[in-house]
Amino acid sequence: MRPWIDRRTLIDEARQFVHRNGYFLRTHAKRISSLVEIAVYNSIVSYYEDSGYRLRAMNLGPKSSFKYKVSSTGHTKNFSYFRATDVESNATIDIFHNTKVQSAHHGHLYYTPDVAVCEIRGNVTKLLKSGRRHSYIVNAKLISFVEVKHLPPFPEALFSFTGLVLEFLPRFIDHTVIIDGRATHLSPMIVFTGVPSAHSENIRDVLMERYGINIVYGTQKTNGRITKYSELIKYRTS
Amino acid sequence: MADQLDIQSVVVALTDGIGSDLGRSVRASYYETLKRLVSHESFIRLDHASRQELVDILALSNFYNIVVAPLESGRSLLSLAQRAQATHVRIGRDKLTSTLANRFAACAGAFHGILAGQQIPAAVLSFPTLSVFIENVLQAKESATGETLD
Repeated sequence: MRPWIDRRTLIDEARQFVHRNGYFLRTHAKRISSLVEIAVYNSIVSYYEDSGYRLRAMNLGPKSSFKYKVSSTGHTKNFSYFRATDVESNATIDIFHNTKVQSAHHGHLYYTPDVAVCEIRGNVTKLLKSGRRHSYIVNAKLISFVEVKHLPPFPEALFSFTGLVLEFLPRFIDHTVIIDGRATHLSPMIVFTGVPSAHSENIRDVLMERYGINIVYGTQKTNGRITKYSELIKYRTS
Repeated sequence: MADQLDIQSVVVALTDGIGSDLGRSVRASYYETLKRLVSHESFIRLDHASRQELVDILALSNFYNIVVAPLESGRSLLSLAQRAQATHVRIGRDKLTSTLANRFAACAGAFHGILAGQQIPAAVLSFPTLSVFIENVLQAKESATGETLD
């Protein structure tokens, strides 16, 4: 029998790897952790680029820096985002990160998904009674949203996601959208970084089938992307 | 089941020296997934050598997904932004430049070098379920050793 893994060598090489890169990894630990969330945003933008959209970075900062919005606070106008235009149809969308979206049922209810895709200029800034400004994506222009959880998938989180879909894109719950593998826009998506139990796998299969939403489990990343794009559920917006 | 296996050496070698933030995340994720792996029906049926290989590759997988994959995505993030006319990326107060992205890539490349030396395809480190993980690793073993597993 030919041996496969030489454990002694593997362990030695792992130690040497840490010896050579440990300081670098320690000093960039925080940045590496924040890249996990950003990788999902990156994946959605790359998905559109791969689907024939031309990208343009909007709201660039000083020296043309792309400023990521890493938290839910702050005005959208102070951060960068991607605008993507379909080279064939000229249809244009904006892809935001950590930006509020408006409820489909109430004009003053909002929630902040990790990624939101909307029609061009779907993001507005309004003045509140308090005099403060707030930015959000108008529900009528919302195309899709993505939620990222740094957890193993568990039933409560899976079922709760359908509540978000009901509030923000209810057409998926009442089955009035047309699921179409040849369409471009992605159905709402939740991504878990952890590995599921057998029960969570069943829940995913049933919810994806019933509502046409995307539930992505953790290590389906391929080359830094969240999953194979061809396996994601898409829908027709018109 | 797990007590017959060496569940420590690879994960300790990978995390001892990378700092508590990353090290804790990798180990927590590894031990949690390991608990499920050792009680998985397909895992229990395997011989000791194959079970040890699965445990070692699980440690590599957790390290890859928590440490290396973000480094790879950091580089692709910068190139994506540059294709869209940005010069660099700011994440909070941090600046992601070409120099830093290249350093990220070099670190990721060194990890892939370890995998290549052991004929472990990087693709087996990414999986949606443990059943798929076990199946992929056994197939990779078959390709690497030319041995058919029943």
